[in-house]
Amino acid sequence: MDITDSDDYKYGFSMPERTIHGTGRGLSASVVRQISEIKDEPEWMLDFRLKSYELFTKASRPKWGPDLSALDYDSITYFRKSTESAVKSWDDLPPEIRETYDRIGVPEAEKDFLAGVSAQYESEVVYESVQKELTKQGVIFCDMDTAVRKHPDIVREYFGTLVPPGDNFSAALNSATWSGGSFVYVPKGVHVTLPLQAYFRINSESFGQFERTLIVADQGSFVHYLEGCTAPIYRTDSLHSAVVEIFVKKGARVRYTTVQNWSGNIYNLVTKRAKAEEDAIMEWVDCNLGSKVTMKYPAVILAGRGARGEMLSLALAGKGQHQDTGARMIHLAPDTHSRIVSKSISKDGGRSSFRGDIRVAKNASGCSSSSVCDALILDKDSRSDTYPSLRTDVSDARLAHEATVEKIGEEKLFYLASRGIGTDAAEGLLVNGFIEPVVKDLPMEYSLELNRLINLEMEGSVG
Amino acid sequence: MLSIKNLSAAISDKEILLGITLDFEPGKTYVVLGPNGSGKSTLAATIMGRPDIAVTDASELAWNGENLKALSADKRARLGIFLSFQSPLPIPGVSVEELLRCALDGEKDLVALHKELRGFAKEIGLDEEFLSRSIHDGFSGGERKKVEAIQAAALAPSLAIFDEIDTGTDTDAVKRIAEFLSAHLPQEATKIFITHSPKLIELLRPDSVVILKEGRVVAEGGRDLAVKTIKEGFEGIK
Repeated sequence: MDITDSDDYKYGFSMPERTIHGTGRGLSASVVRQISEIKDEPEWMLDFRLKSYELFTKASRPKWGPDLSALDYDSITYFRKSTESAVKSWDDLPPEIRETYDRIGVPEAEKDFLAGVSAQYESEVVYESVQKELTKQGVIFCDMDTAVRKHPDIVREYFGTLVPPGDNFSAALNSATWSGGSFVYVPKGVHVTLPLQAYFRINSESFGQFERTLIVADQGSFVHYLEGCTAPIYRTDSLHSAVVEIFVKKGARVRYTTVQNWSGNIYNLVTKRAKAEEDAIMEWVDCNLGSKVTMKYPAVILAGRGARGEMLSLALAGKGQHQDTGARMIHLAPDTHSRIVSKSISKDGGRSSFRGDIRVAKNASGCSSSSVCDALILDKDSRSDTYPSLRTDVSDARLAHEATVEKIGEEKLFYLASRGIGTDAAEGLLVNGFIEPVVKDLPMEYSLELNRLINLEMEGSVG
Repeated sequence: MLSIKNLSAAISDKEILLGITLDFEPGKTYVVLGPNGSGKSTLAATIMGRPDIAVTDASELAWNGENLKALSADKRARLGIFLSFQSPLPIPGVSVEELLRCALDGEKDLVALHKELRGFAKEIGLDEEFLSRSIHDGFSGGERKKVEAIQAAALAPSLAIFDEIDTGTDTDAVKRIAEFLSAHLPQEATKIFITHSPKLIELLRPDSVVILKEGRVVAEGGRDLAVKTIKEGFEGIK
């Protein structure tokens, strides 16, 4: 079945018939060459893409997890100029998406941008001042395409080394077709005070479908990278396949926050991996709200003594959605520590799965890891599963795993009702309370937006 | 006025209230006594509108002439009815201040509410931190009851029912709670206390005492009825 077409039908609009600077639908070696050519890339990147494409054609699909059989790789357009992306006008958007924008109060210019109606988000003033400050500190922050051209040495040293193209089928596909995404380099000892947001890069490729992000935080540095927003992001094509690689050098700290709310037609397949060296800290904060299927299991490879890895995860699975997420902590060095906090909510027949994978290698003594996975199921049609895996080759590792499943109790609802709080608002309050341990680590504006969005979801008014 | 006529109610087919008829007048304080299992808590929850309690068609339950049976608990609360719970459940991630902000949405200025709650906490002898912590989560008996009393004061109900506001608290806390409530509940409010505590009854100086037994009202009277009953037990009352 061609899901792109079926969704087009549902939303009542048609795909653009031709693209001027695009590849058309489907994927082949010549399409991969075409992408590289349009981008005017060096030979090594073309080779990387072609090898990746080979691997993709041979890669087997996972035999576990969500059903991906409806995903038709031949119906997808793998590259097009940003101005060609998605819908042509505001009126072409599905009404649910428009309504959600209105209700969460997204400003007009931003709405157009998120919906793909406009390729430009006018935040240039902010962007310029931020960019000036960063340049002064020696920080490089640009889109990945620019980085390949302007900073080839550093990109080549790291690109595809943490998530090699052969890692999994989605990583292979991304490696062959990637476009957009961010490149960040933070020099030794530099602390970037403002969170870096993909938003500032003001082009729609920052929300592209095959984005590729590479962050290198040199010794003793600190950076917080933020991607996404709580407003739903609408794209006509149904696949988002991204790769994120992060290198956290000795004593450095990186926090990577994602808040994503893809529209309900999107398969969101993301490979995220970080490598933390001696005394480095890597923190993933990952909030997944929309999409049809999400498969995402951010990893931290704890490669140096004393490294720490943290994962705060939040998933909301609504009608027709399967959030298959998780975290992976690989303890390769002694005295490394990891912590996982996962909160999932399933409602209206939605399904959430959490896969925790903790490994402690030989010689990695004195390690500890704790996982807490809490699931909230709002009705009997919804489902939640936890798949923990703890493996250790040393005897002194302290590994703890805890999982709870909760339903919203009548008793709590009655208590809130006795204070004059109606069922929808009470459920919103309880759900927001449930996710609070993750949300409190988000920047203020995100946590407020998220709370508001949860309240909207509880009113059952968001599609 | 709360007017109850021939009220019979069951929880999962078990009949608990068997034809109760009572009037509760504004500005007055009532004490409801009775042995365990007599239906006191069920009566309170029925007035509040707990959804799993089935009330018979013949039962009448009216607040200032309005039929409460047709209203959900949150609507009853909006009419000014309040219930303090005997053993309220913890709600992770929701503080009492957030809860009241949600309950008083648009009715009270947020800054004023914030200030008022801090004043209440100080007066009742509760550390401020309990206002911003997850409600009832890891609270002691006394802390829970003080938080219930603070909510009663903030919501300023016209009918306030307290289901064992004294249990799990020490003598000093009972005194503080009683004094706090008499200072902050609206004068014209109808106040109903379910309790076993002579100390609380002494502090409350109720206008009227009702005794429940096996789902029925077995005695009504003044303060002396409470004193006598507590001294002699429920055995003698038919």
